[in-house]
Amino acid sequence: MVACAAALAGTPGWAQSRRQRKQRAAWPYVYPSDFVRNALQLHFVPAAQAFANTSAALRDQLAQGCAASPTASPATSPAALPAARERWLAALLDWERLAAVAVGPLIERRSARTVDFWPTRPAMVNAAVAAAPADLVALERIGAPAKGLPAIEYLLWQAQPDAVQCSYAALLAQECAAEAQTILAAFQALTQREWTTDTALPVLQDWIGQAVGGLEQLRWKKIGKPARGGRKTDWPRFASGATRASWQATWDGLENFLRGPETDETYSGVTGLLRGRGDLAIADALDAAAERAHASVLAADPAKPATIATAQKAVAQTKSVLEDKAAAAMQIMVGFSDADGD
Amino acid sequence: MVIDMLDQQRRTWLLGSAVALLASQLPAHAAVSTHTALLTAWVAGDQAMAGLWQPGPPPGNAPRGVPLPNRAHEVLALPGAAGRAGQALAVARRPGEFLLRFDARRAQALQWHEMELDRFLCGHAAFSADGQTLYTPEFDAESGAGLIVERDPISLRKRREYGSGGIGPHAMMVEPEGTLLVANGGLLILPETGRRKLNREHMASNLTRLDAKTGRVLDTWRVDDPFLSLRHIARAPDGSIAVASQAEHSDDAARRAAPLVSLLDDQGLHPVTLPPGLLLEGYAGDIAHLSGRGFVASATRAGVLAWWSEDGRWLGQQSLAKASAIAVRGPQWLASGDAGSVYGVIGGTPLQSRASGLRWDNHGELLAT
Repeated sequence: MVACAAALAGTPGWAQSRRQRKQRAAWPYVYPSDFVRNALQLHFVPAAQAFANTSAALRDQLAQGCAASPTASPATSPAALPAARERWLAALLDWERLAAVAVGPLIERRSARTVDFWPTRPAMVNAAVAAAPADLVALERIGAPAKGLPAIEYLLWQAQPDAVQCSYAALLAQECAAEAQTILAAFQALTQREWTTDTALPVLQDWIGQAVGGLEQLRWKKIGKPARGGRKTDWPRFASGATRASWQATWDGLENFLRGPETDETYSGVTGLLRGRGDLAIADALDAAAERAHASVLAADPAKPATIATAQKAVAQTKSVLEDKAAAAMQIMVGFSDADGD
Repeated sequence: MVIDMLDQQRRTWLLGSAVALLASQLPAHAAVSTHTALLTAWVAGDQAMAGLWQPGPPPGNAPRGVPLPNRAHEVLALPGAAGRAGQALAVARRPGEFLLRFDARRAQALQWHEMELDRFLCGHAAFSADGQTLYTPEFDAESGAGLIVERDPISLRKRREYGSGGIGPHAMMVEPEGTLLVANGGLLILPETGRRKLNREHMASNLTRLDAKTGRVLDTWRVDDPFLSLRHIARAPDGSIAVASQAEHSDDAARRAAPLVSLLDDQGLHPVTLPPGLLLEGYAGDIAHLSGRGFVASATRAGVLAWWSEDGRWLGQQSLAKASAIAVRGPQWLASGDAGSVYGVIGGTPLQSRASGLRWDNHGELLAT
């Protein structure tokens, strides 16, 4: 419920504002340096800051333990487990928003391997719990498949996590929070850079390519592939019941990058970039596709197969506009392209 | 020698003439044998497919296949054995996440296989001569290291894996002696960045021969040009081997002029010489050997099929927009082009045809039906 409320926040109002912005007659040319600077300041840094905050809150909560058993040592309050779950959900959704367009430090550090190795590998998590690493140094010897937010989810949504499981979850949360701080610092450092057209253009091209990849990840890895598998446990964030919220948060991150935040016109996303170039029809097509995707991802429900198919299609259409029209108009080679050979 | 040269010039001229004749005079759908079908992958609209296409005039020219979650790259017929007739394997394009064994005649999926932890396919595969082993070039998502994975050809489950001898393995071949020949493209990609090439400045491509029993590297060859990414392999019956490349030069002129085809001999792997003025535009999509005709490579961006003899003599070229897959069966061959077009010789008859509303993928096999 918390998750849905967070992910659904402001749908109709936000959409209105973006639509109003679209009606403008004149659009300023957006230099690559401005695009990169504004995307950093108004999309990536706030998203990284949010994840740093919520992952720190998760770390702090789990440091108090989560075992519900009265014999747990140290003794923990019965409210510890629900509180830890709530913090986990908040951190997860902020991660989804940040990682939806994986660029900069997220790629250089391969942060998804530390924070979000998914699908979860229960056997490997159980083995890691049994190994009982004492600290972050010891945790380095544990492989990525047994770490990150999905492993914490697996542990926290046990019927009754025991003290050893909670200790391991606490250590994983420490690692996630540390990674979040490093990501934030790296994005902040990028905002301090003197961006010129020469330095910003390849970055802009790279980011748009990664947005194409992010759309494909949402379409296939998080929606299409689990739907084909047919097992309810295949849905992302199934254990916590946050599948829908997870999709919505990912879409939120993608849409923010593509169309800019509702509340600040300084960064108007890829659509603003296109309009400034005079590619108005493509910008309109991207806006329209994104609005359809917004509505369909919001409606997507694992219990209703038709909504899943609709969401997949709408996200695919958005990807198609971004890759085949927008990237092509800007002569961007896309690493996730469906158009090239091999 | 003079006679040889004259003969060569005549062959080249004849080839060019025949091509010109084909291009100018063939009807849209020439009469063809109905006993040959193209096994391949394609994209229709935004739907990726793998299956069979029977070349010929409408209405029989719509391909029939199995819908795929993402594009496949190579599609191979399972080696003939009881119960396997008509079955094929589709391999997902890099970074690939699925294998599919399917009944090509009925367009029916038989066995899906999703990739193991931290492993991704590279778009190609090969079967052992006895058909009992499937080999798939793959990479490790943690390290980027290239791998050859041995799998059960029916269940598609992994039996074991070993190093491919480089990074970015692409196509491979099982040689008559049972050894494996792998084109390690030398380019690092990782799943989180899709197909973005992460090490262009330091790429390290090679052709590696592996002992299939032990996985040990027996030989490694490199071309002098470090910016040629070796991708696809063809072998002539006399044992000559040609390798097709993609050029990654940052210098535009060098990339456009790169020879793209190399031949392996006792002295090593050597790029062929292009005739003056010919630019292959840095991208060879496929290569094959055609008995009595030599090696043919598809230079997709140049829109050219380029021919060489087994010893590297230039034989000629023919235009084919977006030339890509080259499928050969005995004297029959088909090359795919843009917008569903194909071009070649089937049943002794030149063929120029088209399956409308689709885009062929890079590789195919000709099957008897």
